[in-house]
Amino acid sequence: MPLLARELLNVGMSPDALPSAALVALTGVHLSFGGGGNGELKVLDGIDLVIPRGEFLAVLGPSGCGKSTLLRLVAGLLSPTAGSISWSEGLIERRPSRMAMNFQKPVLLPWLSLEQNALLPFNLAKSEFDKGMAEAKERLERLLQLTGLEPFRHYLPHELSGGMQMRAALVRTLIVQPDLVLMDEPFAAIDELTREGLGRDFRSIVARSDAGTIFVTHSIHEAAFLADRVVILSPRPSRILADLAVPLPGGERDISQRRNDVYLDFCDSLREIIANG
Amino acid sequence: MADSRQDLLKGFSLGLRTGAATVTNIALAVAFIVALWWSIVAIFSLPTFLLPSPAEVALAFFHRPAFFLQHAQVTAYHAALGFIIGNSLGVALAIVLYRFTRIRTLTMPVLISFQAIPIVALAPILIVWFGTGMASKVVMASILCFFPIVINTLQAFSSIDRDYAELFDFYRANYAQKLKLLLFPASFTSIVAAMQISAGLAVVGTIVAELTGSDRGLGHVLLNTSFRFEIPSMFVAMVLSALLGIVFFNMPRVLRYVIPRSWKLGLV
Ligand SMILES: Nc1ncnc2c1ncn2[C@@H]1O[C@H](COP(=O)(O)OP(=O)(O)OP(=O)(O)O)[C@@H](O)[C@H]1O
Ligand SMILES: [Mg+2]
Repeated sequence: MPLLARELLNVGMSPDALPSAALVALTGVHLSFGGGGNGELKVLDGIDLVIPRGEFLAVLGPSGCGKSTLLRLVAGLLSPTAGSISWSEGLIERRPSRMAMNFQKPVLLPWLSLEQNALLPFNLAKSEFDKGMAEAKERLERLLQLTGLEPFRHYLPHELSGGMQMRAALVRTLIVQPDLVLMDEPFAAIDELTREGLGRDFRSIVARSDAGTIFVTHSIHEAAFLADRVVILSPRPSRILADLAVPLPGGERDISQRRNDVYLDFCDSLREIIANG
Repeated sequence: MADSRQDLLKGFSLGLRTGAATVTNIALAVAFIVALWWSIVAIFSLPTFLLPSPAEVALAFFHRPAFFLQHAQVTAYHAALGFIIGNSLGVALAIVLYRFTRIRTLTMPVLISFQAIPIVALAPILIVWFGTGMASKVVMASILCFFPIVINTLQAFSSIDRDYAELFDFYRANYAQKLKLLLFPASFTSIVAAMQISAGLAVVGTIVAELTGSDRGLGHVLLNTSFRFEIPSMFVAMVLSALLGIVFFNMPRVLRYVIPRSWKLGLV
């Protein structure tokens, strides 16, 4: 078990009680997809993980190892086959406002404009948001500027490019101010430069709040540059291969740090762990 | 919003244009059939009691147009009522069944196999139960409309990408929100297609019930004229039935231009 998890999950504590600093704790989580003709598929094989408040956690792992599945479990959309997950108070009950999830696909509704899609969380869960629509509209403007989508706000999803659709989904995700942000390869369809810029902006947005983040990515450099901590998963059935703190300062980061030797060495060691599986 | 008004206007003019195109196509097809019909009668010099010429049929109609139109109106009215009732009940049942997965998996096979029953065979017993008046016609039409709508609506709901259902689950959307923002917009095209089928079936059901027992409607005229061997009048009733069927079949398409343009795109 990683050190942090051991510290936070004191022996003798009931699995439902969570230390105040933690948002979510997974204890010995197994997940299999079952039965349906193809036999049982073991995906997660004993995952122990704690996500504290204010931490940016990146998850690396080969395609098909269960990263999206892990996010679904944390979001409460799936239940583990064995093991347990506990969430901080209200995280699941008030999910629309307390959690945000950026799915691997954009999942925009084709009959709503970009702007209407971005405001979907507010329209679906009005009672969850105290300050309501006025504040959402304000945030919407800032996020549209940030993602460069302002001129396209009235476009329908099929009139946007693939990368623009992913950015639109990003606006929908960040329009709420959650305690926990789950990101499933949000920048996969976006060009290198835009991707760097969006990553930096995203990090500074969550760094300013007290939110915890789980960020799934295939890019070692992105993981190391954005995160405070990196978890590497093995191929399916997956276990945690490594759980490492990133040797870069917290808070906002700027691109120049990407030329830093400490950073580059860290990327190399991540690559080595992945390669040796 | 200005945008959606513009969309609606665009949709409306598009509707008028495609509507006009449909009417032109149908008119051309009708002209072709009439020409073919006329030449068959002329070439084989068929007697009126086998196949009257279009002119004889037209004459029979203009001899007493009010009579025919009144009966056509009765049939149209009953078919429309049956269509509305059958579709409303059908969509309502689909909404309930989709909500309760257990009941749906139990009833779906039954519903699908019901489609194979020649429901028009129920006509005699419907006349016994509901009499020779309006009720038996409306019930027959509703039953015929009902099954295609339930089945197609349910299939359309079920074929929506799992990711969208997950998105709505994530936001803890309730069923009403899911229906309004996801299920109906995504299924709109299939539901309109099913409504076209069931609108045609509503006319079939009404006429079959009229043929079985009634004192009004095109089915009644068909039966009476055949008894009296008034072949041209019988053809008038047949032609009017066909026209009614075509009009009904095309009616649900109007919905496509009333409902916002973007709905029609469906899920990609
Ligand atoms: N709903 C499901 N039913 C059955 N099997 C599933 C389901 N969802 C995922 N799987 C299986 O679980 C495994 C892990 O899938 P998952 O989507 O979590 O992978 P991933 O790590 O996100 O991969 P990628 O990097 O390609 O997105 C895969 O083998 C997949 O086939
Ligand atoms: Mg994935």
